[in-house]
Amino acid sequence: MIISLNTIKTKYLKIGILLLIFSGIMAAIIIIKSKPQFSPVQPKTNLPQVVEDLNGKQILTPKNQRNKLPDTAENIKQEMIKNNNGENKGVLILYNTPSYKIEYIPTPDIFLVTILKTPIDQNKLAAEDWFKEFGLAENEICNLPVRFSLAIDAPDYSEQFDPFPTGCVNNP
Amino acid sequence: MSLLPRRLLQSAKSFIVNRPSSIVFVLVFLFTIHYSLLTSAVKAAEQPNPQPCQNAKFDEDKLTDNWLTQDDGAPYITVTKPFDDQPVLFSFDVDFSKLSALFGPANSNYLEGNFQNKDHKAANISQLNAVNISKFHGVTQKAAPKAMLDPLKVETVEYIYGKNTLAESADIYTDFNGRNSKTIYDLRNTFGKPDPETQRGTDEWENGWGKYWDKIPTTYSEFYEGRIIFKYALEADFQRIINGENCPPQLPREITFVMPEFFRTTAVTGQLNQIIVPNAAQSDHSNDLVLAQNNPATRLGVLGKIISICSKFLKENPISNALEKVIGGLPKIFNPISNVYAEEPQGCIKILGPGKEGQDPYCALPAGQLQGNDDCVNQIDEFKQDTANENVVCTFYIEIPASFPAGTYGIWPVFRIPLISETWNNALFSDDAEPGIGSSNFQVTNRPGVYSWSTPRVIFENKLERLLSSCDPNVTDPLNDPSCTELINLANRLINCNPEEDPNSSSCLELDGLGIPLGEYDGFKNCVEQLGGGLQNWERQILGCAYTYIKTLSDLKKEPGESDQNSSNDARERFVGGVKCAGPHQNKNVNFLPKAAQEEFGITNECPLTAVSQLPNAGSGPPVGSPGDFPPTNDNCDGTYALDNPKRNFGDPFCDFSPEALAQYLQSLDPQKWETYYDIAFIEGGFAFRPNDYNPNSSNPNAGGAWGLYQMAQTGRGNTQYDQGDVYWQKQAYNAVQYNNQLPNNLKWCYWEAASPRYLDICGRP
Repeated sequence: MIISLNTIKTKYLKIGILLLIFSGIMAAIIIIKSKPQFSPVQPKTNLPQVVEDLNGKQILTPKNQRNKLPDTAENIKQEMIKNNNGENKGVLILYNTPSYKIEYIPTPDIFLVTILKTPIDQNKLAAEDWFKEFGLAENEICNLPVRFSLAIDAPDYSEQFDPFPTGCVNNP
Repeated sequence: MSLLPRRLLQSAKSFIVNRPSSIVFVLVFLFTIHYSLLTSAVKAAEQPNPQPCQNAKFDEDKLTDNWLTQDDGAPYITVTKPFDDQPVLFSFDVDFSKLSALFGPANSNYLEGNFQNKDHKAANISQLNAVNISKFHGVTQKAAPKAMLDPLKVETVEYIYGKNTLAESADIYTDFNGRNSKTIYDLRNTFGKPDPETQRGTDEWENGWGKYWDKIPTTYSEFYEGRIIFKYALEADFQRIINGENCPPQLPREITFVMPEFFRTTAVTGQLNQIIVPNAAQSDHSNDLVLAQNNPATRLGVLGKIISICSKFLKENPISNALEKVIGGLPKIFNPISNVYAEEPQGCIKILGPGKEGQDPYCALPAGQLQGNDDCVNQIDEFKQDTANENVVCTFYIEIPASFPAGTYGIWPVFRIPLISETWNNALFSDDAEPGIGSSNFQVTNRPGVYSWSTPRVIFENKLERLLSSCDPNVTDPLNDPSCTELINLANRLINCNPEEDPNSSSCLELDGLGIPLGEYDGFKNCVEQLGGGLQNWERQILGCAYTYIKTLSDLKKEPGESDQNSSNDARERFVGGVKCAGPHQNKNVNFLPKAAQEEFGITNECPLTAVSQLPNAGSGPPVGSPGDFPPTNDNCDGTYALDNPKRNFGDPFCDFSPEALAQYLQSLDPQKWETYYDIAFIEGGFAFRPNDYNPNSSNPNAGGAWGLYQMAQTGRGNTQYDQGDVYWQKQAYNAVQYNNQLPNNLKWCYWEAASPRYLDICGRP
């Protein structure tokens, strides 16, 4: 059998090229396999069960990102603050019941309603009614802004809680 | 008609015809005589017309200069004036809402009780039990005898009555049933001048002033003017001024401002000093501020002016640090060349340490103080007294006049604050090594301020000295002397204190109660062990060891209010109300409240509790530095906390937490992202702020649980020094910010589940 130089070149070159391509593919697969997969960072805290998903919504919208209140709502807001029932460590007390209390916190400029007793939803609505009695609409209550806090005595309480008022449903 | 009347009539006719002008005189006399019969006080009294921050008093003798310097006393500002004939301006920002709180830590409410609080004046106290009555009265009125309080109250009533522009002149008082509202003006007009000494017990008193007397404060709030001036020197003179060899002149510009609460604070500290401290140890001439205020004869007796003002560069200068907040950072200088010098500090004055800043009533800049391009912005809050005044945060443009020679000028802004040295004099432990605190006659060592009243037993029952003086080890049979046996027993007990192992052991508490700083004092044990066996008279030798040992401890004992010179907490420990912890001494409540009341209020002999002066309102927070570590307490802060965690009240031992306080503190830590930290605390707490929260099932099993507002690790078990949540709430917030700041951008916020996509979705977003 005569094997010419040309034949060798053609035959073995093809095999060599194929081997090279195969090795490259294998190497790439190994590299990809060995690279750690992206996984979300595991937080070091566990939120209580009452915390409802927020889906990226901030609780305290920074002041410079808030919608400006209409003049009437702003006037009502100032009137509510002015007619406070006293002050406790910088927090102005606006309204107190055994089931909930309404306070104004000056630095973040928010109205914080703390629910003290169940039924939560009923007490939330009652607190919202307190704001509505001043003439505020639901979305104005949201933008005032009013936020709800939970201070239930029952240690096993675990129902999910929404810290936003009703009027915030569609607000990001 | 009889002869006499007829003659009188004729004389009268002739008088009228011949001297008509005399008739005018007589009529004027008849119509005005009643004015001269009334007292001057009545003449002055008018309907209340409160004008807060107006008509402030200026008394140069009562001003103390607080120099704003670099840490080393070097000028705070340096300005280059390039040309001889051209002026140079530099800007200087002052936040007047912070200035008052900085210099007037709100001790008066703490010391006097809430007598200036409108709720207090209108309270129904008829149903209060003994404990609550005691609480209502506050420290001064609870402890002081009527003979002292009555004249102060009478003077207060008369002063407010006569000065209708005082801010409190229109305040309403109710009787002890919370009814029949009246102002001081109404009360004074209805019941006349109070005279409790003679009226008390009569129907007139019981139906009049007596119904209101418990609510009358012992002092009033007077407004005083302060000044901001600018001392200057050319560069060649800096060092001489820092050394106190030369007193620099001041620039022409002077800014006047008004401080609200200082008179009252000073008066109350003086009253307490008078109540508690034996006469021989009382402050020098400062106790009679209210009574002396309007008495020309005694006026000069109220503290003289501070001497040697040039020497008051501040040592370890927290006030300078705090002032930097007030003036809003380094001033802008036009034609500036800034230099920073690093000389040794110079000075002698002891000032209040950090941690006492807060919010207090304040006055905005008075009218007429703005010049040229000076400008102010408004701030609306509950603390501003002159609510219509919009000049709160101001930028001043201070001129180095054209007539001054060219060169580099050093500027020391000086805040001239009224009455502060008097307060210090009343409240600080005195040391003759500290001239310049309050008295022109210098201080007398061991003359205690109010602080000493927190430990009267240390003064009056110096157990160690009593034992040492009554036990004589050289008598024939010393162990028959109970003092000597007590010495040995005491020594035996005290050697068991090892503060590193258990600072709360009974031995350590006993040392602490004796005013001896905790440390390892094993002198007695070593001495006894060295005696060896075969002693001829081992009892006598053991007594000798005990005697020497107790003598050593006695020498280490701190006098009330005394602390180690130059210790970081020196000023704080020496100032009543300025202490986070009563130091080696007990707190006042333990000494003054009945046992039942202590239990009622949850007061124990542990460190901080209610001995700390509570700011009436949330503070602006301590300077941006690591807050202190404070031991937990069992105080549930009036039922705020369930304390269902192993460390009880670790997060709010001073009961000073509030959502507002947290907001302010976070804002000072990170002005850009504080709202995010606020959100995280709120969410991590289950839509609530919980400084004492504890979750034993932290996702990190090595963390010892999740603690506090930010659910961080137990001390010593976290990832870094800042991963620590079982601490005072301010430190919780501080740690959270520091921890997050140290994370790489792709891990920012990711510590908290609240940052994950389901919630705030900010993990990895710097």
